[in-house]
This record gives sequence, structure tokens and C-alpha cells, in this order.
Amino acid sequence: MKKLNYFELIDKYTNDELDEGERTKFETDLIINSDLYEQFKLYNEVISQFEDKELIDFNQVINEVSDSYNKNKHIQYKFPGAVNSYDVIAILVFIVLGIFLCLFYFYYLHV
Amino acid sequence: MKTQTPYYDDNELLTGIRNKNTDVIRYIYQNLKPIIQRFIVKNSGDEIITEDIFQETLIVVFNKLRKEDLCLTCSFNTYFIAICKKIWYNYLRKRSYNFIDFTNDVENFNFQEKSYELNSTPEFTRLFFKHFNKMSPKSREVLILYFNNVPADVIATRLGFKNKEYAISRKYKCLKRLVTSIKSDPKLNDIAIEDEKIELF
Repeated sequence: MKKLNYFELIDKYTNDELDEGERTKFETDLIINSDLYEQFKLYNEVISQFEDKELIDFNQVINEVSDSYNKNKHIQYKFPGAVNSYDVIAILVFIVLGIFLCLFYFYYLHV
Repeated sequence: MKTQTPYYDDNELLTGIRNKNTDVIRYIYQNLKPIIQRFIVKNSGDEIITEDIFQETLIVVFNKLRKEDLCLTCSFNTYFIAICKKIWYNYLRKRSYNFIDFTNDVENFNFQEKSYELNSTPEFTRLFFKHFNKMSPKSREVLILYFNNVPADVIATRLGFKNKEYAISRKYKCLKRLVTSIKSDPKLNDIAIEDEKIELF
């Protein structure tokens, strides 16, 4: 018989897919095998989270809002034509610097 | 045309969270996420962890509202930011990160420690959602439908799977991935799972 891993075994036990002998062995192993017991506890804890349907629904709402927020956030800071805000800032800095240098040059040329 | 952003007062925000109102959650995201992000990034965090902390906070507030009549002694923003900070502070303490600026609050406030206290069972719930939310939307949907006792053939039709066997195998793989992912999280060691929850079938 194929040896089942812990998860498979726990899943089959939970879904009532083990035969009588396997079931009894599993329940005995659960008492003597602490690793199996720990995994079984974790499996049950995870499954129990799905029982709170209201919280699962709320989490769905959060995910939807989070997705749309993150999408919009990225659109918000982008300028048309795939030029991002950093490019625009760099261009503006160059323009201001250029104007400043021109003024500086003409001032010294005329003084 | 730019749409006008609505304004919600504190009571509307609390009611909105309780009623899972998308517009209210969006409003909270727009108003508080940048503040929380600035705070967390400044204190050894990043954008990804901010998202986790922010969502955890929403779940904490939602759970509080379900269990009791929440009477705020400060503004909603202050309350929300305080919970975020508390969660982030706990996270840092457990990870022994460099925590620089916990006192740099956005608002000065005076609230009772008790009002946002976190207890042990919600910690597992938060850990669960942290990993659950990292799964693909389809994987999440499979698990939600399965645990809502939706038959496998209906799940297959609804999600466009070829047959019910595939739906069952997908559910198995998703659940295994979720459990394995939670198991590998170091945070799990800090959480005690109660033995009373275990019962043999």
C-alpha cells in the first residue's frame, strides 16, 4: 500500500476516506506521534477559520479594495505617455538649472 | 472628470466596517494607508509588510465591532493608527528589529491600552489571513466554496474547471499549500493552538 504523508492521511481521515483499520491506526498514531498530532491540530485550526464566514467575506472585501487601491495608486503617480513622476521631476530640475545658468551667464556678461 | 471623495464621520466608519462596506474600506485605505506606510517604512518595514499590517488592523477592528459596542475615546484615525502601531511593534519585538521611532505619532492621543488589546486566538486568525491572502484569487475561491459546502461539480462549473475531480484535487493542493505555508511561518511558534479545538471524528 502507498505510504501516505501526514497531510494526506489527516485529509483522508477528516473526509472520512479511511477504512476501519486505517482509522484505528491513525487514532492510535495520533496519541503516540507528536509530529502527527501537531499537524493534525494545525490542519483543524486552519479549517476552523473557514467556519467564520463573515470574516472570510470581510477579508474578500479587503482584498478587492486593496487590489483596486494599489492599481489606482500606481496610475495616480504616472504621467501620460509612460513618463513617470521621477522623469518629470528630473526634466523640471534641468529646466530650472538651465534658466539659472543662463541668467548667471548674462548677468556676468553685462556687468 | 474627477469624482468627489466622500466624507465619513467616525460612526459611519465603524458602521461601514461592521457592514463590510466597500466604499468605507476604500476611504480608510485612501486616508490611512499612506500614513501607516510612512510610519512602517521609516521603522525598518516595507510596502509589502505595510499591506499585511494594514489588513490585520482592519480585521482586528472588524472583530472588535462584532463582539462589542465599540465606544471610541479618541478619533477613529487615532484608534486605527494605534492598532497598526501596536501590531507593528509586536512584530518588531518578535523579530528583534531596530525600532527607532515608535513615539513619532501622527496625532497625540489618550486612549486606554485595553481598547485595542490583542489576544491569542486572533493571532492565529491573522496568521491564517496573511497566508490565505497570498494565494491566487482562484485558489482562495476554491477553498471558500469548498468550505461553504458547495458541491465539487458546482465548484468546477463556477470556476471553469474541466471536471469535479479536478476541483477536488485543486482544493486538496490549495489546502496543503496553505497549511504548509502557515507551518513554515516562524510566527506560528509564538502562537499556541488550543487542544480543546481538536476532536476525533
